[in-house]
Amino acid sequence: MSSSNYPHITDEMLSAYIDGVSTEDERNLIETVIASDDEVAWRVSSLRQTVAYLNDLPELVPPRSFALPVDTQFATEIAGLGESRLGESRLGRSTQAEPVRDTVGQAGWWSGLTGLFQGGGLQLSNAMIASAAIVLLLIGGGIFFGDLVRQNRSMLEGVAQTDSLSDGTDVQTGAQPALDSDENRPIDTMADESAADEPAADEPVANGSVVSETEGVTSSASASSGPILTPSATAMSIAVVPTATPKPSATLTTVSVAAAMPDTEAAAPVAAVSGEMLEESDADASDSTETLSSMASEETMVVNSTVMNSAAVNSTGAINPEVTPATPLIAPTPLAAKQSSVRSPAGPQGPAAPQAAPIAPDPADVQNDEADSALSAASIVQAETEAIEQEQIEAAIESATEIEGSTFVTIPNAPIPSASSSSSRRVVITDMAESGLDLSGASASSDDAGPQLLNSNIDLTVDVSTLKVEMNDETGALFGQLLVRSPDGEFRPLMRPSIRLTKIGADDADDMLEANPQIGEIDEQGVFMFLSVEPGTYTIQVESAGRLFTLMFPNDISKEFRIVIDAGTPFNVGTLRYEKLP
Amino acid sequence: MTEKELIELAQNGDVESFNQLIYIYEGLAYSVARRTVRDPESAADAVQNGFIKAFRGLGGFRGGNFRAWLMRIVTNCCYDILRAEKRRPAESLDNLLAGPEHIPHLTDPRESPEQFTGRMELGSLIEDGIRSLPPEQRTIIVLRDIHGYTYQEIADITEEAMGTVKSRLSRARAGVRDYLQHHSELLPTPYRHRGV
Repeated sequence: MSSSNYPHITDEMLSAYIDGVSTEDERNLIETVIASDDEVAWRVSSLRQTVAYLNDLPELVPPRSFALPVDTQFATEIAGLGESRLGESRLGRSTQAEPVRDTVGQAGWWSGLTGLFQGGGLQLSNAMIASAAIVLLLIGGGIFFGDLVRQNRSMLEGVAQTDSLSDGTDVQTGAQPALDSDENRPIDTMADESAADEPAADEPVANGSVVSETEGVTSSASASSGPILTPSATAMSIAVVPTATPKPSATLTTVSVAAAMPDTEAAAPVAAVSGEMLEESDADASDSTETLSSMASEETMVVNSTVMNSAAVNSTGAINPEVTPATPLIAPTPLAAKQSSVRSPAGPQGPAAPQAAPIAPDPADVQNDEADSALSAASIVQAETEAIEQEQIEAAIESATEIEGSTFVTIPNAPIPSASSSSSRRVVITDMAESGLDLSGASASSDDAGPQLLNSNIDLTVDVSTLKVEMNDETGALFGQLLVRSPDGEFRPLMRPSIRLTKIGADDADDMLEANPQIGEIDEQGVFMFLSVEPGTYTIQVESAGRLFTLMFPNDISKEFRIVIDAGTPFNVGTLRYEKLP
Repeated sequence: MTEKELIELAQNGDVESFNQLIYIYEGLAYSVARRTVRDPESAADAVQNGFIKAFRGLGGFRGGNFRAWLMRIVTNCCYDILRAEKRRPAESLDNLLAGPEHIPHLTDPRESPEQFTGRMELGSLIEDGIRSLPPEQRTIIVLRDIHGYTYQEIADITEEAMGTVKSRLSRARAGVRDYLQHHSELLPTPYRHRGV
């Protein structure tokens, strides 16, 4: 770095430049310097690559649901108590094993006991541990001495000598019979013992880890078997599980497990908020992760593939954002994997589980299938009322690409005449797998049921008169507007989304790394803008409410939505209206 | 039901409505917390405590960016845990278990085992790079580059000036870059020649 002739160009300036938030003067300076100074160019590219790496990191899946018990008593407690270790014991521990509603009324003595052990300070915990140990010793001692008394009494009563010798052996191993009898002992006794033993293992932090680790497994049992997990069952798992819970591959199986899980009552219901904002609890998904933790990753891939196919097949009819093409169109980049990992277990419509379950198709679905097939035979979207030349349609169709039987749609970049004028664009979409290059519907009027339905979701009439787009000969720009139907029926912008542009076309891992997502700006009206976009083919991804979505084609979300950016031309993608985020 | 309506109901003590908000943000909150604190259990504790605090303090929420408000509480809970760990270091047993937590849940069947492994190694290395940063930088880079928060939102969450956010973000990025550079030998083969 010392070799740079521009020491005043700081990493902070470069960082802001990468994010597109630097001032115009700074941007001009940096772009000028990049062309002439290798050191600065390297710093920019390395920072950009670092950001790309970071972008590719997936969102981590919570180990459990953090929902609060729907319990008026709890509400009172939590309003009245201070920082709640008690709350943690009731929430983090007790509710980990089952959904919130199932915990109501069963917090009881077990929560109180765990609260005593886990709550309070270290001294209190140690005192409780010591007390429990003393109690156990007394119990064991009682049995021991009880045996002695019984033995002596037997001897006095003239029991056979051999029996006496045998009892004498028992005396030497005094506590052993008591331990052996654990199998027949009431489970809650074991629970007490387990609870008493755990704190002795380590400081409270380690103790908590032990409990958590085992409860992660018990929650699986609960989720899969259905019955409410009792405190006793928890204790049983604590005693049994640790050696049988390899964690490394646990998260690999989440999707498949979640998909395979029946939609039981355990899944907490979720209402819709702002269109997409609410999602079904992924408590089951994350909990059940542990269930098949030993499953090989190869098996996971197969299962996942099945899930994807099932989702695609079963979700025809009403537009379902969970639908994933049966065959991935491209090898998912890490980002795509990230997006999928977010979307699949608990997407806007809940987990893919019901779709993956081997259930008979609903007659309504069959009808929808038929209708959808009719639509996909030649799905042509007319974005605006103005006519379009036939050769433009053909050009668009030619740009559609078929990969392994699936089709994606590429919107050819037709530069708008002026960056300061309104733009309209016609978008052509077709399902080549169904209709090849059949353009019979290319001129379909809005009277046709299919196109009319499809047309309802797209409107390429973004007024870009207020957008100032500066272009150069090396990069392009993309802008448009993103709206999603809200519960009140109106299309509205998402609340505080972030939007990114991901380059596609990667064929191998090396190329994937080149898929450097570019963060765009999006305002409160949903108008987004990407500047200085390198030429190429891109997909748009949106993060909202902590979830990352890849935008599919608005009118047919079973098809990918690809945008070609050319150098020197701003591209108005129009207003993208979604019933739900894909 | 909109977020605003849920908030209003939750402000009146409706736990179910607050749970709806939790469902929205728990993944995000845990993801940020997990990358801010040391171990998964501490992260879960931070998130749970954060939600409890948020529920208790919801009456004081006067509108605005709820996500930022909520994440500020969770982030503060993370800092509380970090401070506690600093006072009394303890190693979680969870840390003794092998396996990166961030393994994606959906893999491409066409991705070879080598590619998958390489991607996992790279992800693990980057996570290590993040953990090598000071907590305040760590939080900002996670919010910005992993979760895509805007500068303004990060400023709201961290209660720092915009300039501070930019400065810390740039230092964090440079820190991760330098970390990767210094551990380039650990970069998976397909990526090594690229460096950073």
